[in-house]
Amino acid sequence: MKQDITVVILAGGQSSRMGKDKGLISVNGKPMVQHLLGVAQSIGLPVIIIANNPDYKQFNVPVYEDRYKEHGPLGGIHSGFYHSQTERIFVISCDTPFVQKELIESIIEASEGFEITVPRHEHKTHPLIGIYARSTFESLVKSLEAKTLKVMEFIKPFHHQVIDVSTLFDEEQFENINEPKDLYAQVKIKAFGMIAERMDSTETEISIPNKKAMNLRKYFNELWPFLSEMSYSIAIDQELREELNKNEQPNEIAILPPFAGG
Amino acid sequence: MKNCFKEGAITPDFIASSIAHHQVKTNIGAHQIFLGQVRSDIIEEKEVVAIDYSAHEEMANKAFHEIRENTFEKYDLTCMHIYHSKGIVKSGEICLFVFVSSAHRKMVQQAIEFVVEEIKAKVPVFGKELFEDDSHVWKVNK
Repeated sequence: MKQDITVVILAGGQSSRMGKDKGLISVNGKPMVQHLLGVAQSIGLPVIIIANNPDYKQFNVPVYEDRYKEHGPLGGIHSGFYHSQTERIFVISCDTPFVQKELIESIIEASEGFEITVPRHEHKTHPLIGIYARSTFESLVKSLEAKTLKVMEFIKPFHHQVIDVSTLFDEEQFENINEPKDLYAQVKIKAFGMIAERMDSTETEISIPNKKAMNLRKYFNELWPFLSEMSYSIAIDQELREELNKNEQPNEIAILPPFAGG
Repeated sequence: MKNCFKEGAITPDFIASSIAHHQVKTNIGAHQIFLGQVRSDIIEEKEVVAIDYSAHEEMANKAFHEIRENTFEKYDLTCMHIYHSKGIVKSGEICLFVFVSSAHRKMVQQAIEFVVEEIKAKVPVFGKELFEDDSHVWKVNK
C-alpha cells in the first residue's frame, strides 16, 4: 500500500547554530536534504519539502511553508498533511541525512493497521522518521493551537507502535547532524620547510569532514595540488599516520617535507 | 622531554666540555662520537654557505627520545647524548653531535651507526641550504 504515502521532509526550522539552514549543509558533498530526496525517490514515492526558506526550491520538488510557524516539528507535520493528498505521510527530519531506503521500507511494511509507526534504535525512539495517518490531523491542529508541541506526547493517545530496529539497522542511520562540529574536525595544520614556503604560512586552520574515516593524503593533495607532486609525510597529533578516524578531532596535523636532519 | 636542540652551531668547546664531564664515570672504557658538519655543496654552480635548520620541535624531541630508548634497549651503553642545531649553521660548522659511551668499543661502534641512521630517517628536521646570493634550496636526506 505504498501508493497512499507522501514523503514529507521537514526542513522548517531555521538553525542559527549552523550559520545557515540545516538541511542545506553539505554532507559528503551534497546538502543533507538531497540525500533524503534521493532515498525517497528511489522508493518511488512522491516527496514534498516543508521549509520556510525558498532556497529549497532548487531541488525541483514542491516546497511548502509551515502554516504554524515556530511550532517545531509538529507544525511541519501539519503542513505536510495540509499540502498532500495521500492517506498517510512518511515524515523525515532533514537533520538525519543517513537514513536509507531499507529503513523507510521496513517501517512502511510494519505500519499496516496503525495510525502512527515510528522506529526505536537501542533506547532511543525517533518520531521524526515515521509514518503518520491522516486520522491524526484533527488532534494535530488541537495540539498546535494549545501549543503542546512535544512529538512523543502527541503520539501517545493514538493507536501507534514503536518498532525496535536495533538489530536490523546501524545506529549511523539515525545519526543527527546539528552543528558543523558534528560534521567536521576543526584542525590546526602545521606546515614545515618547503611545504610552509609553498603555502606561505606555517600554521593554518581548516575543517576536515570526519563523518567517515578519511585518507588525509588524498584530501590534502586535492586541497593543495602542489603536494601531489612531492614527497611528504603526515603526523596526526605527532603520530605518523595518514588515516583520520571517524569522528576524530585531533589538535594538530603536521605536513612534513622530507627529513634533513644531521 | 629533554630538548635536544641547540640554537646555532655546536661549538668545539661544547663538545670538549661534554667529553670532560665523562671523566668521572670510570666504568666507561670507550666513547664514540659522531659529528655532522655542514658541507659546502655546489648545487647548480652555486655554493652552499650555510644551512638554516627548522623542525617540528616537539615531535622531533619525542623522536630523539624514542631513538634513545631503543638504542639503550639494543646496546649495552653507559650513557648517550644527542644535540642537533636549529637556526643557521655555517658551512664547516657542526650541526649534529651524538655521543655514546660504554665499557667496550664494539658496543659504541655499533650503537653510533644505529643512532645516526635513525636520526636521519625519523626525526622531523628540515634544512634550508643557503647560497651566497640569498637564494636557497631544501635539503633532503638520502
